[in-house]
Amino acid sequence: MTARAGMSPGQRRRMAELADTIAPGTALMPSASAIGLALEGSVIDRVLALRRDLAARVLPILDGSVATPDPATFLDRLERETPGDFLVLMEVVSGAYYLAPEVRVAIGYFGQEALSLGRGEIGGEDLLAAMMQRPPRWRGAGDTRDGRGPAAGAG
Amino acid sequence: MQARQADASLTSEPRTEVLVVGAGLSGAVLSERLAQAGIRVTCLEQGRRHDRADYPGDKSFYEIAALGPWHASPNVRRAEADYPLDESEAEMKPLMFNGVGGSTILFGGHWMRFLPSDFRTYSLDGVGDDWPIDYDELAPYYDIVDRQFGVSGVAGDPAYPDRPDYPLPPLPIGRWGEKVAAGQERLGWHWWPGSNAILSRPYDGRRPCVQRSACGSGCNEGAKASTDLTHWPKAESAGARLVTGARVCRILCDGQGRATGVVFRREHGAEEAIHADVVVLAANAIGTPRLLLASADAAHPEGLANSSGLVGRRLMMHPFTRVVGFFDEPLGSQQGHWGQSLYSMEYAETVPDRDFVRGAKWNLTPTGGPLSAALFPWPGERLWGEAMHEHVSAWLGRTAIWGISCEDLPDPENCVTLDDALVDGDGIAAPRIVYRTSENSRRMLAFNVERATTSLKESGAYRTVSLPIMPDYGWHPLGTCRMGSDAGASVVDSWGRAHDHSNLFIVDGSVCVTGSSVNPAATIAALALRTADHIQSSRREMHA
Repeated sequence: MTARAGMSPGQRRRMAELADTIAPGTALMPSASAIGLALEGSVIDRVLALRRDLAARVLPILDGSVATPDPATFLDRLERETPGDFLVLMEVVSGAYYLAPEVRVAIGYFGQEALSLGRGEIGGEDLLAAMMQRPPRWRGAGDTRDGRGPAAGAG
Repeated sequence: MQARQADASLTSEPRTEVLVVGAGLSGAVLSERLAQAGIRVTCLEQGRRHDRADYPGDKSFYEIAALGPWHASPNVRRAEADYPLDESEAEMKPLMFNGVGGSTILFGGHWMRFLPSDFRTYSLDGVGDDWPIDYDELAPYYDIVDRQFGVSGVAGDPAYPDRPDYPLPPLPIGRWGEKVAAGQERLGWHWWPGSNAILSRPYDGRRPCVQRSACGSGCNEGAKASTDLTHWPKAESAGARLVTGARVCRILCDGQGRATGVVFRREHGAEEAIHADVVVLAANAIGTPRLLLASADAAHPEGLANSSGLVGRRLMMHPFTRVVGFFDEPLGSQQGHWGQSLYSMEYAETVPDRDFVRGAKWNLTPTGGPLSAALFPWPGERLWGEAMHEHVSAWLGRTAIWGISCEDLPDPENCVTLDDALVDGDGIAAPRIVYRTSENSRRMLAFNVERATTSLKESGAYRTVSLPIMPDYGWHPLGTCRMGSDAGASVVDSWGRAHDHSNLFIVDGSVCVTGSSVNPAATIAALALRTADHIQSSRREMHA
């Protein structure tokens, strides 16, 4: 029976192996398997439901990957031989990984947030005032062909 | 070849005075202007209306959606409204959006005027061609469109002639902008706070920017100007008729060479016709030549408006790349307007001792979320494993990007033609894009990458990363139906009127003679407004 998002159990297991190689655990970051990235109903299913274009392309990549059991060897070969497929796999796995709440907490990112614009300074006002004092630098019709015209900025 | 005169058997829409093809930037500006003047306008748009609540910027899945259904490439997005592009010979790949608002839905809102020298590249630098109009002639129209779009910025930039104040104060330049402004100042290089068609204050019924940095996939707030918000409501209130889901197949001509209307399909249905006194093409520099070429008939076997042979030729795309600077402190640069925080015109003009002519405009931007880092094409580095974690950690909120937009000179070999095999959902030949980056552009890119790297290092970056060119960022297709005074060497006159057809106008970026290095939206809008005023003032003459 085919699992959700079109992945069979075997494809899901292979996705988990590859995802753990793409996003391994470190002292600061959870591994893909630690967040259950490839489990049914997880962030990978969210990504594949949202991106049907990727779903259609990633399943054959998973199937083809079993001929190269070592995930790191497979990723190296995929990147070298079929870079388009490599980017599809990267987009699926990293897209899912950085959707996971645990990962977002770890990196301090909570999506693109709505911020109120201040009504005060825009930043760099002193520098801007200095720039305003500079002479015109644009070239007008009175300029010369060599770009060193006598009337740069004079129109 | 069959004649393209009106087929009486086609179901017809009511006749209109002015028929506009495309509801994007230029089509909206022109339609609103004419409708306000009491002229009956009908616009056909192949896409649909969008609800800004649907844009992904305020959703948790924003980044992954922006890379798919909200991607700016129609070949990636593959939406129902899109037509495919054959890009197999394109070193820069066009970006666009089809729908009410057109590419303003996904553009960054960088709002720049062309430089005076852009209109005189042959006289000043011996390259390209001079325009039949100049900066001063367009300046009053720039002033008007600045107000229509609600532009935020600061007047007084020494890189430009004097101009009126912007309608709104500038947006904050961000901590990354302050760092880079200081670096530019130390180098003695030009910088200026970004001018953006993004609201810094409430304006014209729209809310100000919330710094979500998601401009490139549609603004949920409506703070970024897109013509579905800034122009179409006013145009429709004034009587303009906007028909969505209507893909134009070909333009109709009578025996005297006057455009009589167009044939279109609504939602892939049967062919219908609509007739008009004046036909205006506003379908961008890819779609407009495609339509003119697809309208070939017995009297015009090379396509309409093409006696010069220049329809589709001289395609310019602004070769583009980025330099990323990494800072060792949090800058909050995952947020901000995108939109430009700063711009620099330090290297925008020709300088004789360089090994290229013309120049590049730089725009400093915030740098987005973790996927921007993870999927950036890090040159020579592995993208996966611990490297991915390191990339995201170093990038997120601690980077600034100089985008480098180069002026490419018009070359007739860079062109839009009709593909022999690829077709859209209605069976119309897809455009085939041929674009090769010139030696001048490659030298310009290399020079500017080196200088932008210097800028970021001077600004405190401990590391920079750059690419020689980013081929997927062809935001600015231009020049494929150039204007000019000589009917043998141009497609339209200085008003956008086709030399070959007295009542056929073009108002999109196709008409540009040269491309500048700056973002072209303000210039396209100003030119469209100017053409609208000309149509209005010469209405009686055209009817006659």
